[in-house]
Amino acid sequence: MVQRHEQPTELELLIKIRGIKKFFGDKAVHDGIDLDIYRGEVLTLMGGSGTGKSVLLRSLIGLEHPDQGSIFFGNKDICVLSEQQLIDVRKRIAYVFQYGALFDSLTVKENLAYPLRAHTQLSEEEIHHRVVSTLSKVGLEKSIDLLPSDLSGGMQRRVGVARSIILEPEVILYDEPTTGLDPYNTRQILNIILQLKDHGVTSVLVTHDMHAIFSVTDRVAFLKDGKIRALGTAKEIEHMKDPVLQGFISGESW
Amino acid sequence: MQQTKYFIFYFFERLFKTLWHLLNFAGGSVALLLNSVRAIFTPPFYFGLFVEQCYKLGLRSCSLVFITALSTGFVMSLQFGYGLERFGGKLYVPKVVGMSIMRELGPVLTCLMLAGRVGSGIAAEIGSMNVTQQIDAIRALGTDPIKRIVVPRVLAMLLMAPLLTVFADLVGIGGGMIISMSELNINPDFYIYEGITSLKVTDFTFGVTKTFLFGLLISVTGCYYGLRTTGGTQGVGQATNYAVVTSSILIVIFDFILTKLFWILEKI
Ligand SMILES: Nc1ncnc2c1ncn2[C@@H]1O[C@H](COP(=O)(O)OP(=O)(O)OP(=O)(O)O)[C@@H](O)[C@H]1O
Ligand SMILES: [Mg+2]
Repeated sequence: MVQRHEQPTELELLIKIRGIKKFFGDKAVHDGIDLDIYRGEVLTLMGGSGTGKSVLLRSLIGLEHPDQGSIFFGNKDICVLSEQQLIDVRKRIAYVFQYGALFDSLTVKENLAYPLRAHTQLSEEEIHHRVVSTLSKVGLEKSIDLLPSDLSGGMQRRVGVARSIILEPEVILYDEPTTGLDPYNTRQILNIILQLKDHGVTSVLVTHDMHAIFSVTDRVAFLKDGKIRALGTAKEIEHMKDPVLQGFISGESW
Repeated sequence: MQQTKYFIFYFFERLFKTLWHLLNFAGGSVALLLNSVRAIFTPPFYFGLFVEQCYKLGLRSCSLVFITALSTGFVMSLQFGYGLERFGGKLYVPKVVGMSIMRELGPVLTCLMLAGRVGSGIAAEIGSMNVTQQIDAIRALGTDPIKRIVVPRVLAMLLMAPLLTVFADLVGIGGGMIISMSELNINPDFYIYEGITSLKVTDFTFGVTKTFLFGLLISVTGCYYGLRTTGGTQGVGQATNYAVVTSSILIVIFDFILTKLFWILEKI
């Protein structure tokens, strides 16, 4: 199966989250979150259902706007950028949606070609080559002419991953990449995460599925009550004494 | 007593909710419209998507518009033919049918049909894209849903609603002629001659001008409800429902306002 990789040796701070607060109505989903994300690492956000993991991930590319706080990517604060200014950020940070979110009126090929057509000047031929080579990374080059509705859930998700990595982003955000997948598709996706890591790509994952993720992740952040309750390497987290955390990991409480 | 109180309370609660919904709709759809206008004039432009929507929303509606217009022409001709016969006014049929179709029935019935077919289609399609996160995906991939989704539909409707109305006018008047000929024994030469000499250009232009607004209402309303769809498949159904009802009501209301306005203009 997949192998654990070394921690990055020199740490370059890539994304700096400071004092994020987010309210839906009078319910505080985030109540002051601080978190650093380093270049080249795999960071997992963990926490019970409804603790705002997806909302945090969405905030990282400006799909959601926190009510307070800032998220620095380079020298830019993502929280204050307009949709127009966010385009540059979104070319460098990709988002993998939980169910793939493929455009169901377009074929697999056109789904993958979409970001290329939007952001590059490549010729049709070059686009075709890029699409085929990216699809082969997720093992789906045979499905190039199918529609999303012809694919299984796991395949849709892998196409979703392919569409997100085709522009070669620096950071990839995965919302529940393996939840509900069979072992084969799970391993495929974990392999992609590790391969990208070898190329220096940073990954942020959200998951409930700790046992799969612990094999690929460098660090884990545990969200509880709108705050980061525990943060550390996968090993550290496994051995932390916090009863709430251990209850969550063992599945006894959340 | 208790029950009356309850009903009064219920009534005001509904009223308040409806007003709130209306205010939200007015604000939201105007904002959407302004954003679309801005998007129309800033690159990149997606001409291909516009053509695709013209086909899907416009050309594919032709048969619906054809049937509606033809039956309208038939019915108007029958009603006026037998109605006016009582006063010996059968020969006015070409004038009356032509004028009522061009001024009123062509534009309004066509656009009400489009509100049903196109408005619901837009709301359902965008709504399901929304609940399956495809709209989020458009944004996450660094592209603009207003440009990709809203603008092509709005522009397509701005073009196709008037075109379909012209088509409906012709078909409706043609239908009137068929009935005049077969049922009322009006000579088709006379029908055409009467039509051409008694109708004014303004009868035609006022009718068609209205449909630019109707096309805008249908597309913007559909996009608005589609984009704010939440809550899975049930939400999609509700969005579709709201889109059709709201745009139909708006068409009827604005039809009255514009008709009044046009007559004022014409009298000057
Ligand atoms: N658009 C919204 N409007 C209102 N409430 C929202 C909205 N989006 C999220 N929430 C609320 O914010 C909370 C956090 O949502 P989020 O989707 O981030 O949870 P999560 O941690 O990803 O949970 P799960 O593991 O179930 O996916 C939830 O309680 C949800 O009800
Ligand atoms: Mg979630």
